[in-house]
Amino acid sequence: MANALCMENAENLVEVRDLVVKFRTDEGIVSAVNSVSYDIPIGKTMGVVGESGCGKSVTSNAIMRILPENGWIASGSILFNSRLGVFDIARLPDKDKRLVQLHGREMAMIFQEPMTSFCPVYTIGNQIIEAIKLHTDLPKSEWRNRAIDLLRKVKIAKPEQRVDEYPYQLSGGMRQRAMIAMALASNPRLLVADEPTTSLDVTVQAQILDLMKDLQQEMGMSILMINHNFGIIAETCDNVAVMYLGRIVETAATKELLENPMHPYTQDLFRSIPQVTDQRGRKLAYIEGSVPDAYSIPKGCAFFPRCRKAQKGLCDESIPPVVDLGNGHKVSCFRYDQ
Amino acid sequence: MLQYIVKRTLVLIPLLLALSIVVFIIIQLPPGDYLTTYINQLRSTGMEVTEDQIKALEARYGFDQPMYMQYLKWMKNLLKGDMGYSFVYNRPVNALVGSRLPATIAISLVSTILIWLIAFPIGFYSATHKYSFGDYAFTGISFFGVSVPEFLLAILIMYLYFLVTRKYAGGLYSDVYAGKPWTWDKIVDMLKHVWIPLLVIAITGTAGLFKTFRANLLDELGKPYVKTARAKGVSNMRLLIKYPVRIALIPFIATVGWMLPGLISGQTVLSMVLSLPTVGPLLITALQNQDMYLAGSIVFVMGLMAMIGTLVSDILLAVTDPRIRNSM
Repeated sequence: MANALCMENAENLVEVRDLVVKFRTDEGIVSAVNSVSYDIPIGKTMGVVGESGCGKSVTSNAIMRILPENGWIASGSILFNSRLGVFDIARLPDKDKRLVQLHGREMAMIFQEPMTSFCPVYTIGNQIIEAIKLHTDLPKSEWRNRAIDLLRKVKIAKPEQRVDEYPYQLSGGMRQRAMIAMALASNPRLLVADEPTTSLDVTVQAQILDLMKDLQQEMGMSILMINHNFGIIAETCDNVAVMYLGRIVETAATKELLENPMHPYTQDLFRSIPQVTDQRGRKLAYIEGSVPDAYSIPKGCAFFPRCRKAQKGLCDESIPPVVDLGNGHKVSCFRYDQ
Repeated sequence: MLQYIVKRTLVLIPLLLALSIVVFIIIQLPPGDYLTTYINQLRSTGMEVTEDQIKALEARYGFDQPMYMQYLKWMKNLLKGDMGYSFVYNRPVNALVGSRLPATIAISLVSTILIWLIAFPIGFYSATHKYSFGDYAFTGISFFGVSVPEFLLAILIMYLYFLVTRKYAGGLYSDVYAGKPWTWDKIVDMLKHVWIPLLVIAITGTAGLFKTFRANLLDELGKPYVKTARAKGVSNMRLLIKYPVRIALIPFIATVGWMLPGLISGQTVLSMVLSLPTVGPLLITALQNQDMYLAGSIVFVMGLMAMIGTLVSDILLAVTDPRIRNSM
């Protein structure tokens, strides 16, 4: 099976195509992610940005195959160019042994809540060593030293001491560093970072992001950065996908997107970022209305009810096609050129 | 850690002193004492009881001494391991309690182990298969177990057993074996009786434990560290046992504290219904007759067990949970 598959572009590590993820809830079945497609190039950082609830985390959980029990991949494919060959992660059965191999060895993940992402009753070292044990061939005598090396690599002071400490003894920033250390245990090809700095204060945020950048250069891994903060995305990512209500509305290289946003939603998002240079008393720009809930997604373009450029009879009738503007800039809007 | 254990153990001494005083006061609280009950009994059978006789009786039982003297005497004997004399049974308390203790502890211990062996596995299954058919079935049965009082269940089972076999299933063994030494036949006979209390306790006790464990485990399964471990590539069963199950079990270690006194008292109401010779019914009789040394001693021993149990669970908690250990 693995050999029959082939990446569209050999420079990509991951190719997500027409991914649909559904959830079974008390109110019925909900599509949290609708025909989402994007690439994660080898050694580069791909950013996914959007409001909370837009499905950006669900996409990353689908790639990691750690969707909650009531969620499943309904259709689409996630091609992953692993060291063992090309896999379609979306098609691997739940109990497939290769899935456990991919986890940690090929792709690792860090999460939003460093405070609770470690189990409180085991030492940091114990949990890092578990990853080393699972994914490397190191002899037992080397495990502890490797864990200390990893902690040193993520610039934790006194790693020999920290390795024996419990999660609650570490600060939030240190825990996130330790999470990264654990993720790096096996030299993964993909690091999924789901809002990795959201619960940290700004100085620590910057340190963690710098650390990730350094490590990426050193180890050549790809990063999938999920974030709601455009500033962080702009600073860290090579390419960006903007998501709204389960769909990608615009994809482009970061620089191109910042200079030339085409989708009305992206444009409005940029306008609503407060600027230090703003005049005092200027009212903060915002987008009219609020995000509809996932049970009542509008027909046609999901952004239609809030859109400045919306045209009745067009935007509320059918879903806009993806328009390729060249250089990887794609937008999903009928009236982007108006 | 060692320092904590020593400190924690030393605290027991003043606590025990306080316990003994409280127990003694409680035992003395009801109006009258064993003597008034005894004299009333004598009078009701038509006997003449003179003032002199009452004085003599008071002197014999030590009731003529002031309260603190009685307390000191009781304490002195208690320290020597002598729990005093039972007025009602006319036997030393040690012998009375001693004869019932083995059966009490055996029944409680076996039923506790039984409960744990049943409740934890099905709790684990239910939590990991949330909203499946099996989960609904176990939860449904556990509602029954939680809501039906055990004495009612005991009567029901005894009645059904009688309907089918025409035999009485109460007691710990058949009357013919009473007072006989333990032989193979007696053990077999006991097994024929003891399954009823065990079954009743298993049904009612398991239900509560199962529901608590299921809820604990479900809480833990939703925690981010489970996701972390999954993303790390830990295989499913290993992950569950190492992380959420371990944490979901911690609250149960805290219950060891109040399990120990339960071991001594046995299932009091259940024992009365099934006429099992456990310590529980003995305590009730003693309280009814104001048999102060018997009642006081049992209550004191139960209090002591509660303290030792709490000590043990505190130490176990410190061993299993680093957050507790390091906050000491």
